[in-house]
Amino acid sequence: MASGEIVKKPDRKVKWMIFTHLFWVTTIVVLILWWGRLLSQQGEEIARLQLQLGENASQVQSRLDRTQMMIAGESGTFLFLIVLTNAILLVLFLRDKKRSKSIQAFFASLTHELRTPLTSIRLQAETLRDIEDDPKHQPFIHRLLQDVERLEGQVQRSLELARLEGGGILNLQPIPIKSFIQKQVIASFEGSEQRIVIKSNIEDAVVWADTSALTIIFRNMIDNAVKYSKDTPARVYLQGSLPSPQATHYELNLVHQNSHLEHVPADLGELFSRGSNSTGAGVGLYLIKTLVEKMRGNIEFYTDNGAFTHQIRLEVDREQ
Amino acid sequence: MSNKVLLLEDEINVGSTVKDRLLLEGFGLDWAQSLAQAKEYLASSNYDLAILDVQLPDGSGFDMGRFIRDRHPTTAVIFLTAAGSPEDRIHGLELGAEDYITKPFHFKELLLRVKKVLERALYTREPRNAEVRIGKGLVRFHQYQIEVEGKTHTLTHKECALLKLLYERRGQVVSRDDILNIVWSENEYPTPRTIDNFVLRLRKLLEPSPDDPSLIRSVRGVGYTLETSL
Repeated sequence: MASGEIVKKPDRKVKWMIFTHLFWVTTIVVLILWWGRLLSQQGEEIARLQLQLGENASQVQSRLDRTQMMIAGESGTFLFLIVLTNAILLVLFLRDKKRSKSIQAFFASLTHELRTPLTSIRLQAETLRDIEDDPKHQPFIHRLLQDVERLEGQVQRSLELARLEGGGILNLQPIPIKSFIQKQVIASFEGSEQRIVIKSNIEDAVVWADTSALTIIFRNMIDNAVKYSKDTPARVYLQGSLPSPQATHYELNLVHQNSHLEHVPADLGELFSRGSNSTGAGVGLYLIKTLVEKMRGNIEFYTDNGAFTHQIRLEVDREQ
Repeated sequence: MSNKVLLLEDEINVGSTVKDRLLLEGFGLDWAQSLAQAKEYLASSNYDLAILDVQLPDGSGFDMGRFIRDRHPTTAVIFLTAAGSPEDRIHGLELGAEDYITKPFHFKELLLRVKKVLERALYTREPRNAEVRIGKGLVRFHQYQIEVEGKTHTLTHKECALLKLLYERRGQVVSRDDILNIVWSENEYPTPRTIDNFVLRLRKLLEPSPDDPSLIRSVRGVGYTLETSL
């Protein structure tokens, strides 16, 4: 397989956190011990000076003992509180980590439990479509497949979001973008001309991306175009190019004409923010934004004369 | 003779539909619903391709992938699974799988990928029982093996297909586009660097001096050529 680059390693982050924490605790403990010793020496020094000044030896000794006891008691209490606080923090951290692992395991199992019946429904529906001769039955099967696809999209969005929020990784590898778009995006919508028409002008370049993430990004952007277009079929224009020969980022625009989205809300792309009040869960664009940013890119949205544009910038692999 | 496929899938509805449809397409097929049953089938038959689910009642399909790679290197492997995270995909492909398909999938897409993998396997293995000497190695394409100085090395299906392509066109420059079309699948996006890594491994096995390659030469910006003086 292609040489990949894994983004974000949670274990390394945890190790780094524990190391920093231990360093902090050790520094505080050493400082407390040092200050305690210093104060104790100061007390002895003061007692010695008092003796030289001719004060009563037993009174000096008594004051020194009380001072030493006070320093030992307060330092000890402080040390104990520091150790106790850190122990509580450690227990909470471990409990949280265990819970996070359980949630991840739950989502892994949910992934299997949701995807398997969906696979079966799709397979049965596709088989019906392929063997059914009566054209009167085909529209029903077509609608069934459309709804399966919608459900698959929603499940995929939710599970991917949960995976990323749980510290999931991406596998960045150099991807020839033109070939990817032609094979994975444009080809997958062939035969859907009643629903969507895609035109494209893609300049070739090799970008750093994760193939699954890119597929989710395009699928979501195109689903949005269909959902928010006033036209049937929705008209989508895909344009990709390098802004200059030395550019570090490839620029990709997906524009859909005649959109219901007439302005871009300031928080579009944030979790649960919706471009329209009536439809959507506010997850799709947040997922796109999160995935693009995890691939070291960025995304902007804007509208112009009824056309809604997603503008994505992806890092170019200059070594190819 | 039809290609023989082993399907390992524990979900009855998915397994029976995939089985029926592949049988309708003319493939010979055995369907196992557990690792143990799959091992029984492998012990009694040779398969051109194994389609493996990952989450199974008695273990992981990844273990079966490893078992097939070690014991049945001529059987190509496709993982067909709901486990679609990058970690899982990387793991599956590192085990030497030819392809990794996540559920839910389109049957036509599965069929296309199965055919592509089998075409590549057929291309690599024919003619059967032939041995050829290339550089330091004695290559048995049909067994996916190279014997170098008395030691036998197993090649992955892609390494073997790449070497076969270079061998068939020895003395000519084989372009990167031809390599991509013949050796890689539709849904893979190998870059020139990926192909270089495969060539590097072949050079290490075959070249008298891998650091100064004289057998598999790079032709800058075009592709590779295998020298005729083998």
